[in-house]
This record gives sequence, structure tokens and C-alpha cells, in this order.
Amino acid sequence: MTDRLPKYDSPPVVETVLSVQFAPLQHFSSAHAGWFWKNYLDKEWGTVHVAPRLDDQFERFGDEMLWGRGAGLRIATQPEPDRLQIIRSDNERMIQIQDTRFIYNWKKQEGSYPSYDKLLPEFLQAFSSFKKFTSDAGNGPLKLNQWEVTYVNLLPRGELWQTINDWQEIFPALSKPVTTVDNLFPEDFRVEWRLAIGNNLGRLFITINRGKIGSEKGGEVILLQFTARGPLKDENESSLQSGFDLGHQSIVLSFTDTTSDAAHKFWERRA
Amino acid sequence: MLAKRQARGTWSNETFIGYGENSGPLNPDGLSTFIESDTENEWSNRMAELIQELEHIRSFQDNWDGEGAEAPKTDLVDSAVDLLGSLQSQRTFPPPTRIAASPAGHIILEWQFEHNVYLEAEIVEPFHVEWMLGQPLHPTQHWEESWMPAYAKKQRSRGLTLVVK
Repeated sequence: MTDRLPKYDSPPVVETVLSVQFAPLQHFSSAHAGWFWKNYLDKEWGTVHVAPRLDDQFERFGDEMLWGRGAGLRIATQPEPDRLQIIRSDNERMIQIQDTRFIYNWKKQEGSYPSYDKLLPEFLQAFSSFKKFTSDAGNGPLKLNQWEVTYVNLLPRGELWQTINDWQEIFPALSKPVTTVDNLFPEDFRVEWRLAIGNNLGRLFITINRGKIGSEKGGEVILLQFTARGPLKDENESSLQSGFDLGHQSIVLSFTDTTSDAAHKFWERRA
Repeated sequence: MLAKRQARGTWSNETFIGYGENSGPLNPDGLSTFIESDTENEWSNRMAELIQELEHIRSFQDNWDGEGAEAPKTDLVDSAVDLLGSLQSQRTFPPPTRIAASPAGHIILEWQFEHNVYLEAEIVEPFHVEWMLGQPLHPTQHWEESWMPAYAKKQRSRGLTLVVK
């Protein structure tokens, strides 16, 4: 499947995420997270950080979609377990676990993007260890409910763009609003597209933002993020892998469709 | 959700939320890549100022307005500080436009958005807020929320999150 997808020798991707969400584990605490870290992972996974847990995210389709009042605050009424971030010694990989998620991040450091074909088996191997752990810890088989793939791309100022007027050279589909008012100049814009994948198979989110890397003093960048997510009705691993494949395919093709030939040339597209 | 609606400028009583619970891009907290957005800059620039305003309000005595207003209650000021911290952690929600005390000793946070959209959070009890959303051509909406304070989060393994939906 991936053989037919566009490939780039120097893509702007700086982080990828493969994530699976499941029904809350009944018995999961920081102690369990530490148990997994110390007993089920190699010593190269040497650094841990505790972070607030991520909210569960679900994609709904068809009759499950509803109108309602969305404003307000969601208040949790009882303590929830944290998320543990476990980082490999080279800082290129991170496993994140919480009571409802297993997440595998690749973060660009010195090396180049290793490709989905390499990262997927890594995810499956680490997730297999996690499933063994949850079984050993008395949580039984995981009830998977959502797959998720995210690609984060950074386009630094100075490469392909200098001002907002150059953005359309990268994203041909974007256009400035038509106005007859004099002295009206575009200063900024943000984009968030939401696209259904196939027949209720998943949803793709494409966001374009401007920001600075790391801190106010960091370099200015365009952040181009793709997140694909979809439901898992069948809880076996082949369904999960099919979801990942679908998400990855949607992201790679959308990335190519969204960006210009000139940008592809800069990123050294070879297929 | 409030922030997203504000960003899109499409406030309405009924929002199509049914794509799914928290349907949307991956939460940036799930990434290693840290991008500071304009909203974060706005918070960074305004937070110290807002805390200073709250400390000034904390010093108010009874009859601070000359018309018999009650002095702001200390635990309500603490709650306002806590709420600001929680909102700041939500990367898309802008800082309030104004902070004020009410004659009843409550703390009020106000947001004035484009197109005459007005949002008010009145902290009436510790960690309990009454919201009011006003927008042209729509009835004003009121609702109440409670949240667990950040210090309790720390004491209880950071177990709670306050999320603007």
C-alpha cells in the first residue's frame, strides 16, 4: 500500500503519532505505569515524565451525530490517573500511556523521518508489550475503540515563505478574501479542515497555523498538522492496523494534494 | 468549544457538536513539538497583569465603591486566580478582557469578543462560577459550573482537568 504513496527525501515532518484508545482500565495508577516502564521495556527507555492525562476523543458518524449546546466547562468530579511519558535515550521515540490510551511518538532529532513502514512495527511491538502488561496486571483484554495517526510538519520562515503573501505559493487552495476596501492587507490566517474518510471509516483534520518554535524567541514557522482518527468496532489487531494504514494513506495523499508542486520539489519528492 | 466558536465567529445556541466527544485534532499536549501560538503569547503577556489586578481587588475593603459594596472574599479571589491558571492551560482560550469585583463581593471576569459577543464569568462561591453569554439577536444564556481547584489536583495526583468545551 505505502509503495503507491508519494514519497519525499526531505519532508517537513517533525513528529508523528500512532495512538490507540481503549475503554478505561479499571485498575490503573501511576504505580502500574511504573511497573510497565520498568518490567516491560528495555533500558534504553530511560526517562519518564508525568503529564496530565489526555481527554478521550471519539469520532461519531451517521445517527450518532447530534446537535447540542457545546459551551461550558467539563468538570471531572473525581481524581483521574496521570499519563506517563516514557522517552528513549536518543529522544527520538516516546511512549505515552494512560488508563485509556497507548501512544507512540516519533520526534525528529538528528536523523531523518524513518517512514511509516518502520514506525508501525515498532508501535505494534511496544503495544504488544503493553497488552501483555495489562493482562498480567489483571486488566484483561483491552477494549479498543479508536485509532489515531498524527503528522506534524513545520515550515520555517525563510524556507518557501517570508510573508503571508507567500503562503498561497505553498497551499494553492488557500485564497485571500476578496475585498474592495483600500488599504486592507492580510496579516494572518488559520485553517482547520474536517474531512470524512470513506463511508464512516474515520475523520481527517488538517490545521494550518502560524507560531514560534518553543518560545517567544524561537523561529517563526507554519505548523501544518494532520490528524486522522476513526472508530474500531472490531478489537483485533488487524483492524487497528487497517485503521492506521487508512489514516496514514489519507494523511500522505492530503499532504500532497494540499501543497504545491514547488513545495514538493523543495521537499525532494521522488514518487 | 467556546474558543473554537469564538475563532470561527459563529456563535449560536446550538452548535453541531455531534462529530464525537472532543472530535478534532490531537491535543497538542500529546506532542513533543511545542509551538507557541498567538493566544499563548497573549496569555503570557497578560497573565501577570491580570494577577496584579486581582491582588489589587483583594485589597478592597467594605464600601470600596462608596455605595456599600462588600469587600471581595479572599477565597473568591483565590478561585479567580485558579480559574485563570486553568484557562491559560487551555491553549485556545484568550485571556479575559477585564476583571472586576461586584458589589456583592464576587469576582467577575469579562470577555468582549468581536461582533458584540460578551461572555462573563462571575465567581460567586469558591470554585463555582456563573456564566453569562450575550450575543446580538439571541437570548442571553446562563449556566453554572463548579471545578476542582488546582491545589487539590496537585494533592490528589493532578487528577482533575478543567477543559473549555
